[in-house]
Amino acid sequence: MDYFFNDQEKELKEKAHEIAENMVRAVRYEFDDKAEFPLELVKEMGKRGMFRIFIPTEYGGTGGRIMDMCIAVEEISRVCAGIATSYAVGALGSGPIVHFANDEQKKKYLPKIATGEQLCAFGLTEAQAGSDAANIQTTARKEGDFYILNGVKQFISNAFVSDVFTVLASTDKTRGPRGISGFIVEKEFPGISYGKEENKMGIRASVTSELVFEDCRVPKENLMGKEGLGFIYTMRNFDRARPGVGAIALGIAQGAYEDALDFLYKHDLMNNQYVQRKIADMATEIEAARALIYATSRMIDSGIKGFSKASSFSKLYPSDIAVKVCSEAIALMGPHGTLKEHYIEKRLRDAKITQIYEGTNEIQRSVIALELTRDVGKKQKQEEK
Amino acid sequence: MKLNQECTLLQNELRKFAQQVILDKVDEFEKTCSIPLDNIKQLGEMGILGALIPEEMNGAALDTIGTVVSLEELSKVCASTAVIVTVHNAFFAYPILEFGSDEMKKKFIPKAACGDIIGGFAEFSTNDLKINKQGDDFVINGRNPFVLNAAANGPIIVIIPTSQENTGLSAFVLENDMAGLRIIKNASAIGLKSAGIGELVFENCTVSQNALLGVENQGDKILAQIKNIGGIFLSAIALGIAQGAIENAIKYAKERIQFDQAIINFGMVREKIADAIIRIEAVRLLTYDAAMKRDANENFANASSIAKYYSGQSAVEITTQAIQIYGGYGYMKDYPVERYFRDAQVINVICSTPVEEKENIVRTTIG
Repeated sequence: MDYFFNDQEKELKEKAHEIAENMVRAVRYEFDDKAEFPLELVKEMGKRGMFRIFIPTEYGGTGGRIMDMCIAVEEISRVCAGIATSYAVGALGSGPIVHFANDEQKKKYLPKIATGEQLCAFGLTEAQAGSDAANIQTTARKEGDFYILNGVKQFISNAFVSDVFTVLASTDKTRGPRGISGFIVEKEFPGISYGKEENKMGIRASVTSELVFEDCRVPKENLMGKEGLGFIYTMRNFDRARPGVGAIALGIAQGAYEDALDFLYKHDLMNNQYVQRKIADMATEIEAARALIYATSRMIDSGIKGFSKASSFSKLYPSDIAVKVCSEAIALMGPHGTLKEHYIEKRLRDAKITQIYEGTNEIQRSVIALELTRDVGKKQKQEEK
Repeated sequence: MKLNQECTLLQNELRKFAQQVILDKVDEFEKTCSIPLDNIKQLGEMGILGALIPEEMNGAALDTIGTVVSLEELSKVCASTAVIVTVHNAFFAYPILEFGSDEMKKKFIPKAACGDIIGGFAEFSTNDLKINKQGDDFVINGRNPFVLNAAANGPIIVIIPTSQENTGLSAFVLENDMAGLRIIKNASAIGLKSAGIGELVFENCTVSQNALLGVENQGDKILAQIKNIGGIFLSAIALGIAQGAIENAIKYAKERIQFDQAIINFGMVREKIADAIIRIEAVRLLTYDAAMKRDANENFANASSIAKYYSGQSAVEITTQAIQIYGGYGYMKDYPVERYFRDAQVINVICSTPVEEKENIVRTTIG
């Protein structure tokens, strides 16, 4: 379908497509097998301007539009969602700096992130704070000109390779979520180490590990925004980032569907009406997911407020579709579909994480339902008046 | 559905074996993609490898329902083990018993019954092969990347399109060390990593009439019967996978605290568990029904296809949701559910795909 991209968007799509086909395709299994971060490749993507799209123009970027992020991520993910995740984490990590850091902090960090010279990651999750994200135990104690961070962050994507982290820690335990603050942490700060590296089912080219803070001294000027607003910043950042997760899922589904069609055509199965029914549904669902992601992205980029629900839609639906399409593609292809040589097995392993990371789909449903409840409550109160 | 005493005893025995012997070793076999040979040998001693073989040929002559509950128990813990047993019984021993010459039976069956050999199976399509007939012999070139029990070093039954027409299939029993036949042990499927799924390559391989199982170009009948009985056993495995995955997820949900309570208290988790239980009960009834129909000498083709379709789809759905209950942890290899999820994908397409089963269901229903 034609989404009436402007020239800049068309150019970005072509560039991302070319990178995916010429640089990612040949190495995608290699990094999956070795569970290794494609550092050189990601750096090269940086040289070609792929991180600029996450950053506003005044800090060396091209505007930080959600639409651009989705276009780029979808194209990379269509070939490899592991490498797409390695890349997209840059948007998640830089997002809080872009939107909630002060000008000095932005000047210090964003230009280098824009060029890919520095990679950044995001640290929220802990062993006891998964879906219950506000339950983080990491503390930041103020001592003179420093905050002293202590705690263990878990499942941190790109932790090993990143130079800059946006990290959430509690500055006032008594205030719960309103006592959580955001910090910009550099890997050179004393007291940072990396803990357990995770052995994941999929997106294995995106390394995941613990990020450990032991009396880590963070200069007070690296507090992001105001004390106590870190959790709110995080939720707002997630609202902006979720369409990107949707785009990763969309790329997986699109790639799986294309692979499946090639296989089915080659094996003379396209005339089978059982098959036709499935592939027609797949094509429709993928396009619906794409339309939802693009509409949400345009909405966010327009600058309006209150897009939480739409943002959840555009993560929830595409990720469910991605798992479904991959699984059904395997089922249509039969035993061949389960094998490495047809690649869909990796797509399915990758797809499963999109239902989980950046807020499980159950959390998305809760967010949506909460907003619906609020809306209907408001409506009924107005009617009573 | 009440199981008889013999069946219940078998069920308990296999449950104990799975829990006490297999469980501890699953991760290691999974990691190394190696067949759990010691476990298989012990299953041989327990008679499970000769489940379908008559007693006079050293078999255990179990009924279908007994075999089904055994496989269910094994696959709750390790689906790969259950698949090795299924392929050996239903895809290898059974067709030889049913269609093989006396000579063939003598050669393979007693050894198969006790596990001295583990038989394999591969179904080739016209796309996979080039076949030339030289006199009575077939000279075969080509490959099949999805061979069951390939890594078990045993003889393999191959179903090959020997005639130009699509229906012209023939079955052969081939020794794995014959000239021109090569097995590549690659475990490249998404799941069943320790089931020994691998690749078979024919390079100018001459297959003689001696290896022919049944009648030339009538292999489609053999294949259909293998699939009917294999479908029941694979349903039992899908059932075990689904049951094992949800049992693990329930245990986890009781222990995992979020928002100051065990996540099993949350409605969205409870609904997943309810959906899983509904499907598992339905699958169990369908699978046991198909098995009991076979044991009662009734036509069970329709029941087998229904069970296979619904069990495969259910295993995929339930394992997908089981990971979801675990959240991020479910995606890690430290926990078992990601393995159940991957195994379910393969079970869903072994023997026949969901599309093929639907077609079978219609065909066997409308006649």
